[in-house]
Amino acid sequence: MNAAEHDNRQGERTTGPQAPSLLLRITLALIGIVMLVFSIHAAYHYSMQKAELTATLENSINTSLQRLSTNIAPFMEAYAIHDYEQLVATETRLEDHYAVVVRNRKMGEILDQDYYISGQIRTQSGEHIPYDATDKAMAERLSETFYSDSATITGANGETLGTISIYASGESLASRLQAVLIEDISITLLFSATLLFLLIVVLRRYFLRSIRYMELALRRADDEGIPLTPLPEFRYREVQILSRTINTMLAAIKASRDRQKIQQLRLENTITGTQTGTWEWRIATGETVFNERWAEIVGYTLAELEPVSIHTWEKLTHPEDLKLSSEQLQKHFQGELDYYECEVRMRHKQGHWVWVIDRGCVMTWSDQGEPLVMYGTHQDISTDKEAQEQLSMAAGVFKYAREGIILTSVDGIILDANRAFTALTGYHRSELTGHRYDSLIPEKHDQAFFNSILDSLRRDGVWNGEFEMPCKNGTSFPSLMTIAAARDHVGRVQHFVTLVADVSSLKQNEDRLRMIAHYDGLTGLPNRLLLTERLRHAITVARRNQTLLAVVFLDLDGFKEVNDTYGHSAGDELLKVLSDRMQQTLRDCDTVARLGGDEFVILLPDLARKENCRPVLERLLTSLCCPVTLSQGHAGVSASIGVSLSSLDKEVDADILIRQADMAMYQAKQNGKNRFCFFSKETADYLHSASA
Amino acid sequence: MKAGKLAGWAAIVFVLCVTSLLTTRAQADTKNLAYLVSDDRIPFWNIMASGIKSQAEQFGYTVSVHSADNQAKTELQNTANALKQQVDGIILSPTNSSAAVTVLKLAGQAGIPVVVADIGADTDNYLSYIRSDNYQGAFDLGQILVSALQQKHWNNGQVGIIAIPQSRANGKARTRGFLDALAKADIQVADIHQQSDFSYRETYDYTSQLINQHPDLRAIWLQGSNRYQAALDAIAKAGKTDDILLICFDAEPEFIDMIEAGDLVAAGMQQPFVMGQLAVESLHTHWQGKPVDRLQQVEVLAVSPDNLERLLPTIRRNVLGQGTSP
Repeated sequence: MNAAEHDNRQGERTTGPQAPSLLLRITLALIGIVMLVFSIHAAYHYSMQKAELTATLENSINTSLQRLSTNIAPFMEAYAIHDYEQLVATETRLEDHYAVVVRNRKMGEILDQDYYISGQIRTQSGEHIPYDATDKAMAERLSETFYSDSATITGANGETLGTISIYASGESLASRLQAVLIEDISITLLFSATLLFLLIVVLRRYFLRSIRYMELALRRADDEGIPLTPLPEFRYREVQILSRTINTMLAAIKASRDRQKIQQLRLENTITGTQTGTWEWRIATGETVFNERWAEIVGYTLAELEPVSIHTWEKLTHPEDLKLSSEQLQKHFQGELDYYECEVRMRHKQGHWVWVIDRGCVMTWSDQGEPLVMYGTHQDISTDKEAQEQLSMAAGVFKYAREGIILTSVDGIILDANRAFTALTGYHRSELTGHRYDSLIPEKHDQAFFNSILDSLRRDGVWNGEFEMPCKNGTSFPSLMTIAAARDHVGRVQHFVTLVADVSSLKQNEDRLRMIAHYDGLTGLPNRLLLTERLRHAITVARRNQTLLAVVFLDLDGFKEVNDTYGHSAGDELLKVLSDRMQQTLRDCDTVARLGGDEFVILLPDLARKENCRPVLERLLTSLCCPVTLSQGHAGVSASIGVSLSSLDKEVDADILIRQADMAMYQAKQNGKNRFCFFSKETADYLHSASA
Repeated sequence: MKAGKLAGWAAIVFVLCVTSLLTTRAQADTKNLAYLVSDDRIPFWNIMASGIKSQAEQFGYTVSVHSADNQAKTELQNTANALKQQVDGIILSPTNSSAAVTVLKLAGQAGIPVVVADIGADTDNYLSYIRSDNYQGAFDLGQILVSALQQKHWNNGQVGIIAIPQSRANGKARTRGFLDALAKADIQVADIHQQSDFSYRETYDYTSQLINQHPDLRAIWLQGSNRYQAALDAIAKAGKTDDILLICFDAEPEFIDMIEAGDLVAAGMQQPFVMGQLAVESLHTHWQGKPVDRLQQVEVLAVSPDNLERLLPTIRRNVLGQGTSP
């Protein structure tokens, strides 16, 4: 684009293609005003002149009548006909009367007539000629005059000498008025032209030239029509004020435009960033304007939807939602809703439905309160809808799950707790929300426990474990707790979800099973399986601690007789009593286990020397040999005890230790019962030889 | 026989026709004239009436003289009467130029030709206007006066003028002619006084003023003739009878003797008899279908001692009307 075209476009933008010239308009207006004023003045002057002419004419006639009737009389009396005719002619010519007719009675007498008639009359050419009474045409012209007046001519002695009549013609008046009119028009045109010329010169000099400078400055504008340079300083105050004001406005406009650009950019970025579809709807005509995103939400390009109208929207919207939308719109139009908002489904180009939240507001109303223009947005909420559904399902789970669920913030503040949790713990929901999660944790859990949980959560995002869940009433119940970190799409932890499952029953069953598996069903003492575990553990501990472990194999003496005497129930009863006596005799760190029948193994760990176990063994023998009162009667048994000791030097197998203790117990049996015997090499040899 | 009778009847018819025609022609040529004169008691008009009658008689016209006795009403009545008499022509010597207009107007309405004699009319609807050649007469008088002054070696003297009203055409012409003659000789004019009432006193006073105010006054020209005595008396009264010359326009019967005696340097004498004759001749010419000059001037006789004797017969007939039948 060359400079001339740019200037032309600037000019069209600033003035419009058909904008009229101010100078021309002002000139035309001035011409109109000046011509109007002068025309009014001319009309007024003309009417005044007309009245004045009429009055002057009448006055002139009256004056002439008086003058002539006075002046003629002496001449008439002296029969100086021509003299008074000359007076009449002079008067007629000077006053420009249409006609003056004198009727001379005395002269008429001489001529045997009523009157001798003479006078002057004006011809059509404007000349005054003598009036000829015999000329019918002249008489007719006299009869057509619009005004006439007469006076009597009286002699010095009062005698009536004749009459004089003066006539005024309409033509004369019209002619004079025409002259006045021409004069008025001429003056009007002359004065108007002069005044217009002067006004235009003054306007151009003092006003339009300034405007022209402004125009030149304003024409140098950017693509948006904003002048590039400020207006120049002008000499005259008013224009200077205007110039400065415009400059101030231009500065304000530029600043405003910059702000607007920023705001527009923000808005565009917001629209783009939020992937918002926009629409503009001219309600009366159905015209609509959509942005590209509007079409994109439903899988189209805007070009593909062209031509767009409100029907485009109606066509793509689910019929049910269209009805709902219409209802919402009507409520908004009627003022019941400040804003229109409706979630609708729109048919995607690929055939599926897209959830869109449609929002808008009428921005322009008619004077009658009718909505005219409405603006709004479309936002694709399909994902939100899915999330909402999922959330709804989650809410159902949250609400109806049997497990207690609490939601905590990243900072450990309880956000919510479900009904199951409050039922389990006895807390009311309000007593939980807003409180720290760890306020519920009993102090018995050390910091390491919590750290392990946090480490697990950070690392794996989940922690599972058993947790003794405290209750409001101070009790607790075992729970299987799962803490999971809920993360957003970028992986940031939003909150934690803690599931608390009451495992009291499971615990009880577990304990029961463990008891069954590890303890003797009659005496409640650890069975062989548990004994083996503990023995191995004790061996390891003893070796680590460089202490001795004594494995005691105990077999009751005379138990068979009790069974035989009182029955097995009595035998069982006896075993329970003796088991209690053994537990009471032993240290807390000691373990007594029942292998079966009347055989028991006792572990005595943490012995510094071999001899340190003797007191315990002694107490065992003593307590076991004391008689026992059974339901069926009294029974008395004793115990044969074999003892094997672990080695400080080498690893000893648990089974070996038990077998060695068993062998020592056998030796004790052999040595007379109710005694204890340490395993030694001799014992092994002895038993080996005995068995051989 | 028959042919002779027929020729006789034809001759009779022819004679009758010619006779009838001649009779009609004779009747047609008999014109009735009216002379409307302001006042026939004044010799000038009376002499003019004689000239009219004399010439009318020659043409076989009849003339009725109507004197207005210097009354406008009478003049109009005379006019009305003449019109009623259906005269064929009018010769008008009006009471004044203005009054002539009405007469001419009435005559014009009646279709009667009018010849105006001496006093003019403030209109021109007349057949012809006959007047004295006042300029020529005054010029001639001026030359006679210059000659007289030169003879007396009064070239450096001044001339005083007592004029008739200069509003009159004849007054203007007389003044202009006289001044032209003086100017040729480089004679200075002392002053001009204009008569208004034509009284003796008026002329006497004017003469006295001229004499008193202009010591080198050597002549007085009186444009009228009837108050010559007042001028002479004033000159005599001033003791300047031998120092101041008197010259007059118009004529009085006694002027012949005064000129002859040297009391009067000269006089410009009009010829009313000739003017009357010329008026009738003009009408006659008109009726003959010939063109008539609109203005006809009659010579004014500048009578001085040098030509008095030669002009005396003419003066007696044409100026004084002597020897003519009234």
